[in-house]
Amino acid sequence: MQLPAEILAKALYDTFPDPVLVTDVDGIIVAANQAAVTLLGYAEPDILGMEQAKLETSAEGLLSPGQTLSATEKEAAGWVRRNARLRCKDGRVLAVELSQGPLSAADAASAGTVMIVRDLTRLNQELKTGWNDRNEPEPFLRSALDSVSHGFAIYDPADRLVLCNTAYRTMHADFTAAIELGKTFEEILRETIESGRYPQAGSTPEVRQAWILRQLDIHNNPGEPYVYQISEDQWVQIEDRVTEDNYRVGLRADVTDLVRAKSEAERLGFILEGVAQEVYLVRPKDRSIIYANKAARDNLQYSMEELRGMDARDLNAEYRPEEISEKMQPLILGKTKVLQLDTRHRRKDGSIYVCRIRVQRMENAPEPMMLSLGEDITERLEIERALDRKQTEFESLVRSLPDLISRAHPDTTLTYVNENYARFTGCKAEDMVGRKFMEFIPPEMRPDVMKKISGLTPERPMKTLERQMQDHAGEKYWYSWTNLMVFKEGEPVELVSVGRDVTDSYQARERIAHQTQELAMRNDALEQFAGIVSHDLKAPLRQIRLFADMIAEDVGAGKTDELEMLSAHISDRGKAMEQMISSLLEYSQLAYRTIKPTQFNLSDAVAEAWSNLVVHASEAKARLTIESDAEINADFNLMVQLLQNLFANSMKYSVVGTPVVVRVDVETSDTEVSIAVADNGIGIDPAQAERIFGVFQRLHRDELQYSGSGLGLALCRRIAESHGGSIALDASFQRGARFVITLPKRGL
Amino acid sequence: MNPDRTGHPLKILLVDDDPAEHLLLKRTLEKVDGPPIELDYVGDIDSAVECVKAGDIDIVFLDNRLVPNNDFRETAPQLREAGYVGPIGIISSDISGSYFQQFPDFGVDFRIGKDEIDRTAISFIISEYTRDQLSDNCAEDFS
Repeated sequence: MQLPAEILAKALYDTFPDPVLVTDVDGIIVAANQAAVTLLGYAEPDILGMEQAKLETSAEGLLSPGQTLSATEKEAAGWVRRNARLRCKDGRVLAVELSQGPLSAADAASAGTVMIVRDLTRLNQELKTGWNDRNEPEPFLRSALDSVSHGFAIYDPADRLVLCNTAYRTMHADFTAAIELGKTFEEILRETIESGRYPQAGSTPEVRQAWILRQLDIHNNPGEPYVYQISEDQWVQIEDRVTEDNYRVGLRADVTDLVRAKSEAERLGFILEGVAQEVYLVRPKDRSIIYANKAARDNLQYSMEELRGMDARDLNAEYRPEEISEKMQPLILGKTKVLQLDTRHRRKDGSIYVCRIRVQRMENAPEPMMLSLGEDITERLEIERALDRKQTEFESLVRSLPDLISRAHPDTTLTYVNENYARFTGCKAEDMVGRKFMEFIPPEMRPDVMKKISGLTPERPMKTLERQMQDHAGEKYWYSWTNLMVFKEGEPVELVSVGRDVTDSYQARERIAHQTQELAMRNDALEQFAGIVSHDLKAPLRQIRLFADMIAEDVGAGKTDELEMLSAHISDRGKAMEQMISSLLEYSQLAYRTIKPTQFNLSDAVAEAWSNLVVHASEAKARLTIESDAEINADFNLMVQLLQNLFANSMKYSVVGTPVVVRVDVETSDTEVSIAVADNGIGIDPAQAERIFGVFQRLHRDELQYSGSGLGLALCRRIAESHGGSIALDASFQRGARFVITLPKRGL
Repeated sequence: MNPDRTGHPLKILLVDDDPAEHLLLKRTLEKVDGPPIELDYVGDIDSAVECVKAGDIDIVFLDNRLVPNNDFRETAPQLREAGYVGPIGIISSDISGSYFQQFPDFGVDFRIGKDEIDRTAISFIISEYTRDQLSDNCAEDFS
């Protein structure tokens, strides 16, 4: 028996496991099978007559019979499938898939829509538990997928998520809560955005909607894989594909390390491009240039394209290619790690520049590589040449200077001496270096020099001193040494000494000092002379005037008894003045004359002086003894005068009744001659030892017994001093008077 | 000390190694008006010391250069050391030397050039250095 079609349709409708709803042309539910009643919880009378729109929680996606569907929503002819949310009687909202198809009827009034409802919530639960419930290989697959580091997800043709692993969820941390199997890609996006977990999507609904549409477009029309930064320090490569059977497979790879390495490589590239030094990478196998940085390209005037592949040897204008290969051989063979070479590079326009290259073999590169660092040293070479010229000029100057120049450590260890200094000492300059310059200073002067050097301070780093020096031939010179101690952070680091020959200047100064002394002596003598004129000559003049006044008074008063006595006084005073003036004349003639030294025997001068006093000697019964003799350098006439004055004093100040004995002794040393003249007279009080040499200084007023002008010994001192010597009374001599004359052996 | 009160002549001691100076001063003093003046003369400082020790010397005229001494700085103190407290005047042919300015430091009361010595100068010196230093009333009390 064949069942009527209506009965068969009704049976199928009632027993169909999926809920089925039928609406009329106005969207009013006109029929619902048992499965629909069970799923939604409504009694059949309640659901019938309900507007389909009220059953769905959102109008979105609501299909009305006249609605145009997109191509993707169209499935079979006249049937569409879409996701929707239906509100149950108990308030629950079910995610469902509605398969809608038109219901045709002979009359338009009975036309409507039939909807087959598929409970996605249940489907999801089944999907979640299905693999576990079923003893199939999927659990192993799922576990295996979770263990891989790449994210993996599959969306079915309806864009429902049917498979995803843990890495996928982790890489979409903001979306994890919404990622559930069975949900479509769009639902996952919307749920996450509505929850506020992904604020980056936008702050307004319009912006968020636009963002969602963009993501859906990318999802549905995947292009080339791209890198997306999912957090501050994490990058993911997103690669979506659509399979032939319209499944969407999403692959997510964590490329953070790759991105970082790429960033570092880019940075390194920027640095290499930016450095002023020329950088080349050359492949040793064929010597082709792999890379040249901007500094190299600019200087060589080639582009990177032109340089790439060029034989690096072709850039060299100094050596032939085979010569360069030969020079590079030790580096290529690994015998040396670095090779430095000053050479010349040729630019594209043919000009040439000097450069210093440093080539290093890069062993840790994937393939052997030569890293060459080049530096254009044209300017540096010019500076070095200028410095060399300066150095040469300086050394030439130092060599030509007559000064003695040295550099030393603070402990006086020599580090440099110029040729003049070496010549002075009779050593080679290189032999002097390393020795202390104290060795070249006489031992007796070392403490003084060392004291001066150690007294140099950062505040007073330079001092000058004059000292006598003796060259290698024994010649003596006077040098003015300027010592400069160089300090660094308060510590002495170097001693620079310059010695200038000031012998001529020193001798000139000595002469000037001697002349100054002589001039002072003459001024002193002149002053004394003026004093004598004003005092010693004025006194007798005054007396003569007063005695003359007295004579006039007496004559006027008629007194004559004292006239003879008064005139005798005038006469005495006059004689005294005559003698004084004569003595002064003699003194001035002898004391201020320029000496004319000659070489003679002292005994000759002694004999001449004694001979001049022969009459007085005879009267005093004087006897001269001279036991020794010496050759002296002095003015003969002045020495005769000196000795004559001493002999005259010996005869004058004799002991009454005792014959005068005068003894002359001579002693010589390396530097001086000592002449002693001793007598057996009355002697001189040692307390007067200095005073007796003054002009007009007499110890005895009694002219009758000891006459004299008081100039004799003063003249003796003048003569001795004009020879650079001296005369002194031997205060220890007690048997008379003994004078010691000391003269420099070489004279002046 | 005042010759009018004591009745003794004023006694001056001249110390000079040139005897002619004695004669010259003696003739000058003879011309000085006023009370009698007695002049003693010695030629060296040792004699002068003995003389002042003996007393009765009212004024000492001391020659600057007494052989063998250098100048008054060596001789004047010897008189003070001998106990002489009266006035000492230094006489010299030339008193322009700067050391003469030190005379108070060596017990000397005044200095005078020998060419300045005349009766007027002597009268002034006598009146200046020999009158009583106290007032008349006081002088009477101590007379």
